[in-house]
Parts: sequence; C-alpha cells; structure tokens
Amino acid sequence: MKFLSSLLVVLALTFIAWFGVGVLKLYAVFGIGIPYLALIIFAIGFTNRLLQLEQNNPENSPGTKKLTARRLLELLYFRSFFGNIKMKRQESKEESGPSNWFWAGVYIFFGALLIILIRHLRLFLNPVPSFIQGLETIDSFLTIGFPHNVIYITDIVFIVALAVIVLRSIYSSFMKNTSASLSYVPLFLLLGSALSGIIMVYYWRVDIVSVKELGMGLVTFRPFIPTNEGSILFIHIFLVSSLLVYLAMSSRKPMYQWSTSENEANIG
Amino acid sequence: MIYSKKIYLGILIFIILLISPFLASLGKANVPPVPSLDTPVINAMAVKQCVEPTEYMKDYHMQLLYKWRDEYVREGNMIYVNSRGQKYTISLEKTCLKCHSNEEQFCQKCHTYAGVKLYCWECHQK
Ligand code: HEC
Ligand code: HEC
Ligand code: HEC
Repeated sequence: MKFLSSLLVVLALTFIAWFGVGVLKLYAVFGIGIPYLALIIFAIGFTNRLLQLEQNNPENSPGTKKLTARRLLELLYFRSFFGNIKMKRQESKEESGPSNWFWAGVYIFFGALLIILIRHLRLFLNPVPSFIQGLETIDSFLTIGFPHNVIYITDIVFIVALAVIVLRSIYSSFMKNTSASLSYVPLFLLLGSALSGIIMVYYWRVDIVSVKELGMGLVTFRPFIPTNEGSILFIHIFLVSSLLVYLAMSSRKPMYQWSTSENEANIG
Repeated sequence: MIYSKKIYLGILIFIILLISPFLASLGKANVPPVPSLDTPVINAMAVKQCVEPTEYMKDYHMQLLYKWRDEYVREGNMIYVNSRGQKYTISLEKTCLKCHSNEEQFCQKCHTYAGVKLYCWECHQK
C-alpha cells in the first residue's frame, strides 16, 4: 500500500486548487501566477538537468558523446515516470521479446503525450496553424458512432498506457517490496492531469473561448482571468504546473529525501 | 566544468521550443471573438434567449447538437423540451440556423478562434 502516500499528495494538490479557486476565488493566482512560475522553474530546472546529464556521464568525455533519442528519454524521464518498470526491463535483458514490447509501449506513450501537447497549442496560438487543426481532425475521426462528444484517439491510448504503467508498477512493488513511498508522485500527477483534462472534454465542459483567452493572455502578457469556469480547469492547470515543477526539481537529489531511495529502486 | 557544444545546442533548442508560443504572439493583442447576434429573427425577439441558458450553450452546444442528432436519427424524436419547459423542433437547419442565420458571423467566429472545423456542412445546409 505504499503508493497510497503518493496518491494522498496528489489528492491534496487537487484539493488545494479546488479550495483556492472554488472557495477563496484566487483565480489570478491559479490561472496566471502559478503557470508562469511553473514555466520559469521548469526552464531553469530542465536546463540544469541537461547540464547534469553531461556531468554524470563518465563514459563520454565532452565532445565525443552520442545521445540517441532513446538514451535521452531514458535519462530525462525514466527516473521520474517509470522507476519501477525499468527495473523489470533489466531483468529480462537476455530475451529480446519483452524488451521490444516495452520500447514499443514507451514510444506509443510518449507519442500520444506529444500529440496531446501539440493539440494544446491551439489554445496558445492565434490564428491556429492549419497543421494543428489537421492533427485535431485526424485525432478525432472516431466521433462518428460515439454518442454526444468528440473522442480523441490519443486520449484513449494515453490513459490506457498510463493505467498499465501505474498498475504494473504497483504490482511489481508488491512483488519486490522495493519502491519508496513517494516515488509514485509523478505518475499520479500525470494521471491526475490527464483525468482532469479528459473530464473537461467529455463531462464537465468549460467554455473553450474563455480558456483560449486565458491562454492567449499568458503568451501575449495581456492577462485575462476567466471567472465563470469550473474549478476543474484550475485543478488541471495546477496539476500540470506541479508536474513541471517536479520534473525540474527531481534531479537535484539533496532537495528531496525520497530521491535517493527512488534511485536505489532503479538499481534494483 | 567544460560542456560540449551539443549540450548548449540542446539547451538552446529546448528554450526556443518552450518560448515559441510567446515568440509567435509578440506584439499581438488578446482579442476574443464576438459572435454576432444581428439576425432578423433574433432582432425581432422580445426576450433574447437561446434554446438553453447562454452559459450552458457556450459550454455544451456541441453535446446538445449530438444529442439532438441521436434523438432524431435513432429515437425518431422530433421535439426537444428545454430546461424552461419550452418546446423546440429538433433541427440543426430549421431551429439553430433559423435564429442564427448568420453562420459565418456567428458559429464560425468562435470555431475559427478555437481551431474547430465543422464537418456538418458536408451534408447539412447552412
Ligand atoms: C454524412 C452526412 C452528415 C453529416 C456529415 C452530418 N449529418 Fe446530421 N444528419 C444527416 C442526416 C442524413 C440526417 C437525417 C435528416 C433527416 O432525416 O431529415 C441528420 C440529422 C441531424 C440532426 C437532426 C435532424 C435535423 O434536421 O437537424 C441533427 C441535429 C444533426 N444531424 C446534427 C449534425 C451535426 C451537429 C453534424 C456535425 C457535427 C452533422 N449532423 C453532420 C447527415 C449528416
Ligand atoms: C429562438 C432563437 C434561437 C435558437 C433556436 C437558437 N439560438 Fe442560440 N442564441 C439565441 C440568442 C438570442 C442568443 C444570445 C443569448 C444571450 O445573449 O444571452 C444565443 C446564444 C447562443 C450561443 C452563445 C453565444 C455567445 O455569445 O457566446 C451559442 C453557442 C448558441 N446560441 C448556439 C445555438 C445552437 C447550437 C442552437 C441550436 C441547437 C441555437 N443556438 C438555437 C437564439 C437562438
Ligand atoms: C461562443 C462561441 C461559439 C459559438 C457562437 C458557436 N460555437 Fe460551436 N464550438 C465552440 C467551441 C469553442 C467548440 C470546440 C470545443 C472543443 O474543442 O472542445 C465548438 C464546437 C462545436 C461542435 C463540435 C465540433 C467538434 O469537432 O467537436 C459543433 C457541432 C458546433 N460547435 C456547432 C456549432 C453551431 C452549429 C453553431 C452556430 C449555430 C456554433 N457551434 C456556435 C464555440 C462556439
């Protein structure tokens, strides 16, 4: 039951966003201040991470390094998202089958995430570039036949992949009893972000025109604060911001007491 | 610590990607679309009301339309009773577009802004 503490952290963050907007009406804080802050922290932290990536690479003297996309993915995000699964992969190194399946899964997961991120650009670019609109059209072709809403294929793929990852890592931590208690925080943050976004598309809808005005306000530095949108929008923004901050910070070991044990789990 | 050129290039690409929406919007104003309500039918209305409350329409009009389509095509139901108890004929062309006869100045204003392209007009008449 070690994942429960991670779940509680993410539920607490959700509650903070709901309380801040739904009760305290701090729209500007959660709609404008926190996204800007998270972006700045992410920019600095991620740059730092890229520098550390090189520092921690004993086999490569500067200038002769080869970083493939695969290695970069592994180094930058695996520690954060798939700590427990990576351990599994190393065990089955001899057989090529599972490892290839694993990599196919990873590419599908990050591919879906990338398309979802690109789709979000329609909220930050005016006019919307035609390739983004085209992507959206292709992604939502399943609409026909489903009731009452657009369906994005990438949403389904992403949430299924994420569910598999979460369940597998919980399962493997039961089997091995290794994972540290807070190492699920990024996975649950990602799950929370995805779920809050999906709820907004399919269930508690928000006015996309106001949401885009908020987004355009951020990128043009002419802030607009939508006050008649549901708290779900701000919960989504807050969870994504938290995830950005986590991704920026998680390489700085001394700052987080769970970081060391997380790495131990990786080494197996 | 000496870093290789590649890592600086990587950092540069990362930063440019991150701030690209800001760069693309340099000097632009933040103007939302204003869908026009200036049609003969709406101008003639004493109380200017949509099928459902305006806030609901802004968020849910697509769900309402999909629901209408299913009610009409699958259930054969032709009448929609709204939350105020008023009755409307279920029809995209004869109900929505009777009041909102200015599709370009109304529906499209928002849809272009939000990057939505309706495929409805491949079959339905504007
Ligand atoms: C492939 C052609 C086609 C497309 C595309 C299409 N429809 Fe229809 N739709 C029909 C047909 C055929 C009917 C049944 C009309 C009838 O029986 O009178 C219908 C009926 C409807 C009805 C109920 C009856 C009426 O007259 O309005 C609604 C509402 C509706 N469609 C909405 C939509 C919406 C919204 C879209 C776009 C998202 C859409 N349709 C796209 C073919 C289409
Ligand atoms: C009886 C006339 C009438 C009909 C029928 C009608 N509307 Fe409206 N609609 C209006 C009026 C009037 C308003 C403006 C209400 C206001 O300003 O509060 C409006 C507002 C809207 C808005 C919000 C616009 C904004 O300014 O944000 C949307 C979206 C909308 N209608 C879509 C539809 C759709 C879709 C249908 C068909 C299902 C429809 N309307 C049918 C009269 C109508
Ligand atoms: C206030 C702005 C506004 C007005 C006015 C408006 N729409 Fe929309 N509509 C939107 C937005 C924003 C979306 C996209 C929502 C999303 O992507 O989640 C949308 C989506 C739709 C969709 C679903 C399309 C898809 O691919 O999912 C349909 C159908 C639709 N609108 C029909 C209409 C019709 C018909 C009218 C005119 C009678 C109209 N709308 C007027 C803002 C508006």
